[in-house]
Amino acid sequence: MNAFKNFRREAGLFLRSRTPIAALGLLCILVTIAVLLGQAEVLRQQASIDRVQELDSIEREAALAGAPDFGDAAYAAFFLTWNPPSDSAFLAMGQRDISPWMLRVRALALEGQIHETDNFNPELSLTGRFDYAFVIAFLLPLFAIVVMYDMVSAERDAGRIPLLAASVGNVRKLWIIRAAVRMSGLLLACLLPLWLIGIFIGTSAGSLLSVSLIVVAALLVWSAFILLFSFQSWSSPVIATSLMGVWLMLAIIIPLGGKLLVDRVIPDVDGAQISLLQRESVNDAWDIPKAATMERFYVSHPEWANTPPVTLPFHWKWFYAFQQVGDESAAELSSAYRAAIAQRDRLTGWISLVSPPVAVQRVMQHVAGTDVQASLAYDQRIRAFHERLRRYYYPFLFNEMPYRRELLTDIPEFASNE
Amino acid sequence: MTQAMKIAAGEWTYVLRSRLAVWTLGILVALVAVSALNSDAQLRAEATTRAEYQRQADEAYRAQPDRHPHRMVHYGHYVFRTPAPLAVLDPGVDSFTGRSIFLEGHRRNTATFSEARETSVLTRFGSVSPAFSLQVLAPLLLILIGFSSVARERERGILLQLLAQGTSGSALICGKAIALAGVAALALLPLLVSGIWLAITHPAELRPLAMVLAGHAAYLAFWVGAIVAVSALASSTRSALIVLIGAWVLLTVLVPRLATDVAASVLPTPNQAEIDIRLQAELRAVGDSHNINDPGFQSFQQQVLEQYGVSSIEELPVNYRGLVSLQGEAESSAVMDRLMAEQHALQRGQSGVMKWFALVSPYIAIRHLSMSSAGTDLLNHQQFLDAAEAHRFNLIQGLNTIHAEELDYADDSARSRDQDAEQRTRVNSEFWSHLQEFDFTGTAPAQRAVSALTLLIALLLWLTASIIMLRSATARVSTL
Amino acid sequence: MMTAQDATPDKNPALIAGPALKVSNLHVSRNGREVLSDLSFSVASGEVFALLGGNGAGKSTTLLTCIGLLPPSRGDVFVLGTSPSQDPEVVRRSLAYLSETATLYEHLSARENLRYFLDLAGNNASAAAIDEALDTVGLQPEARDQRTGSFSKGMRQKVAIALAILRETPVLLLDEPTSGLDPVAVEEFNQLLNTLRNRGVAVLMVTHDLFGACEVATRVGLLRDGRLVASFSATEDRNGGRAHIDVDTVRRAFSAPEAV
Repeated sequence: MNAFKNFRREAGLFLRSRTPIAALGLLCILVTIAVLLGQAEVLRQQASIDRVQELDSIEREAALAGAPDFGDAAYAAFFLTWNPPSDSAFLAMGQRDISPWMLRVRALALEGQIHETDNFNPELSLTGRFDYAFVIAFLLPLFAIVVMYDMVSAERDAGRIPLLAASVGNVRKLWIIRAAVRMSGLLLACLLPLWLIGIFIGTSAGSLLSVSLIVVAALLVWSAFILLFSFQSWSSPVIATSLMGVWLMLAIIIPLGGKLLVDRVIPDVDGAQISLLQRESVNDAWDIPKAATMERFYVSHPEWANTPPVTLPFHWKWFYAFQQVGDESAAELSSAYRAAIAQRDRLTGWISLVSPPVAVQRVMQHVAGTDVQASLAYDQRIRAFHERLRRYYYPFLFNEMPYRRELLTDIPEFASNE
Repeated sequence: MTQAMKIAAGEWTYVLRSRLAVWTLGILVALVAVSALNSDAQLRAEATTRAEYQRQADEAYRAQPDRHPHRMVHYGHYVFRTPAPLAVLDPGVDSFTGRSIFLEGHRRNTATFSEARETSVLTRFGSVSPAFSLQVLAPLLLILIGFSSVARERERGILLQLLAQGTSGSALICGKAIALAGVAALALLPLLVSGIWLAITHPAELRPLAMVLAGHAAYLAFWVGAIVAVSALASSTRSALIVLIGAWVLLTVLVPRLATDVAASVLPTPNQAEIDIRLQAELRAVGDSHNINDPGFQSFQQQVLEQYGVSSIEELPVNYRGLVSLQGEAESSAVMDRLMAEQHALQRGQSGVMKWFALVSPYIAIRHLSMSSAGTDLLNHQQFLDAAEAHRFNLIQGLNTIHAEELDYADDSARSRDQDAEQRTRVNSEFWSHLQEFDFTGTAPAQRAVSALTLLIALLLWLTASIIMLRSATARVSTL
Repeated sequence: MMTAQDATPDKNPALIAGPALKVSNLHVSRNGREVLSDLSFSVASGEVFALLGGNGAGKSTTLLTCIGLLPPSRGDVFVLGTSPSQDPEVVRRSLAYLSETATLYEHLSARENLRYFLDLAGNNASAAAIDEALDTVGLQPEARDQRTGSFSKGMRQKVAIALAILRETPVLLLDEPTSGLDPVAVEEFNQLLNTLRNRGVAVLMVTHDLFGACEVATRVGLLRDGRLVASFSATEDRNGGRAHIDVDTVRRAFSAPEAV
């Protein structure tokens, strides 16, 4: 009952002070810009996916129409795979400006295709995007410092503490109310634009709620640091510089140190090795007896083992068999590569326990579906689709059917929720 | 001037006696030194690995058995990018670009496997490099050391005392600036040391090195001036600190990210998938060079027959299939080069938009100056891609020439059906040993230094602005 | 109107026999140095006790201990029978404090400052009462809605005094109340203090102003190195006028090397 009155009184006092209110206004504007820029990027990506889907089916039709046989058709026809932005992707661009979210594959060896990079401008990737996760992870603590660091020391510097004590009785309670007012202001500046725009663009309430929880958690952690420092009997500048030091440590130094640690603990499997291995295996096939390749293929695809042996120097079924054998020979290295990525990501998760900004980014990217796991899941979807695709072609190739476009009516199509 | 030096000495004493400042100073110098040592070790390892991969790839290529040359076209070759020597100072975009390219016939592949993918959440704010330490962290630490330099004196009434006993305002401001510049120089020291080391080991890089050093010196000088000026102009140490930290956040954290988004919105680039589809549509018009009867090569056939004065391709003294491969590769490469040049221009346009923000933030100016001097920027990456493409084209056309000159047309046509003919189309493996080494140098060092000049001018503009601020600070201090 | 006194219903005034403020054998250390040693005095209702001392004598420390912002190392303080180290909230509700430099919020107007601090103290004085208090201290009506950041030191002091009056507490602690006031304002303040005294408020003021202290106080104590070295009571004027302490007597004691 009294709490509300106290809160209103302190809120009134806080609203009259210029610098913190300007800071909160600026934060509110930055959040709005971040959300809008993020959504603009999501719309651009969505439009790009829609456009390319259309182009892709036209192009595929042209490729299939001109094919002389099934082998050629499978060789020429690319299929678009895509990883659409989720309804909350605007929160955190995450991996989406580093790892591809659209990739065209065909029935050839996948290891030669799946590691392609997209046409990202590295100078833009280097800086990263101005998204909501960035604002919350890096800027919110700075704003919180500005608004709260001298909550106590400014009163002390002004010699107001005895008067406050003589008036209020319990000063500690006053500090708590004041901190609550400031935190509410920060929270409002971060969440109000998010909810307004989020509801407008149709973000699910679940995502908005979980993001709001992340913001609250981040704010609580940083407020704890700030209050811990601001209750020290230091001068305002010393408190501010110390808090900047903490920010520097948690936001920049620890992540960079973590990067060095990750590199040392889990050395990355060099991706180049995968394609080298796959290529050697694919090319060796031309120089070893065809039966040897077919034997290996039949181990994993026994259903075709009874088809006639390959006697000619070239046969499509042999061609696609050695593509698959190439993938199989690189499979171990390839999964080690993905395992290393996942492992490095897990270790990064442990590091995030000591760096709130890293934690905020990771959790937001998880909610937004733009984290390393989402990118690996997309990788898995491509693999599953590729498997369906090549298995679809096998009957035509192994049964040596004469080519008719009409026979390819139910070609697998990639589904983004595969 | 002696007055100014006395003020500077006094400030140094203050800095050395304040525990916070000493810690900050120590951290700053340690950061630059540690990051230089770390990048040096990492780049050495990287260079060794890349060189080893390149050697393995070359060896594998040369060790191929007797083969049909078109098989070698599809076997292809790998080239690896070794880091630029100055990447020790500024790795630039290196960890965001692919490090190897597969060169094969008919296709221009993208560079694969960038390093950033796995730990991006840790490194999105910066890299462990001297450049990042000096460009982002050093200004912040200089702020923490210098924000109170003049404001503190004013608050404690020392300013009044100094003026009353005849110290001039300009001596005071100069002295404070000299003291803070001394701190900045200390931070630059590790850069200077590694710079001298690099100049000895890579004498050709002298001019870009000088550019990197000059740029960072100008950049830190800007901050020194701005910090002292704000400290003198601010009403209290507290507001000096808030203004300076605000400026740091704005210039090094906010503006670069906003610039990224602006660049990506103003000049959106298509995805690789979209480019590939366009490319394929255009290549279909060129025709399939595996099929000599492709309508795309009808007029070419006519032309060849006329040139050799024969009436059918069987009568040609060379293998017509090889000629088609040569022609097809030339035509498709022309299409691919055109499309890639477009994309490269578009990306350079995006970076150009970013660079205009050098007028909004000196950090953008120094970052691009440093990257382009070091040869670790977008341009250099594109040059690597183009060099790899040129290498690919020569390699493939060399194989296609063998295909045209060394093979019998009849055997070549029958090789899919006739084992003996197939055996005869295999040329001696001797040919593979003529593989040319891939040697990518990028822009000449001197040229890189020159191309960064406009950014240096931008930095000098910023420096001028901070000197103007210092002058008004002097006026403010002198009149109280 | 609810006064601060009413806010402490569990304290039966009848039980509080003796002085409103009692300091007994007080020892206080700050930063490892004993600032007050064995300080004892008391202030009864209707009494103005001026604690006179030089720099570092322990004047402000005495007041901060009375508010409960500094803990005593030995001895204690009792405000209406309650020790601030035991129950600071109860104590603080029954006292008002006026600091040497009026510590108002510069971004608030005079009225807003009063409203804020009264709200803090749980005192809902009416707008009329606030205006009346501002009339009493003599703050010009046109200044009352201006930000106090633009006020002179004297004007700020007037607002702070108005606050102390409005609190209507039985105990009033004043830290150099007249520093920065012009002579006319000092005269007005002294009259105001007399009014409060007549209402039965117990006033403890600390000051280094010998003349001011003798002018307004009913009793003057000399504080040196944290000890009370002498005290003087006002004697009735021969003409039956206002009680005054003889300045010369106090000055002699004040400048004596070891007065007892």
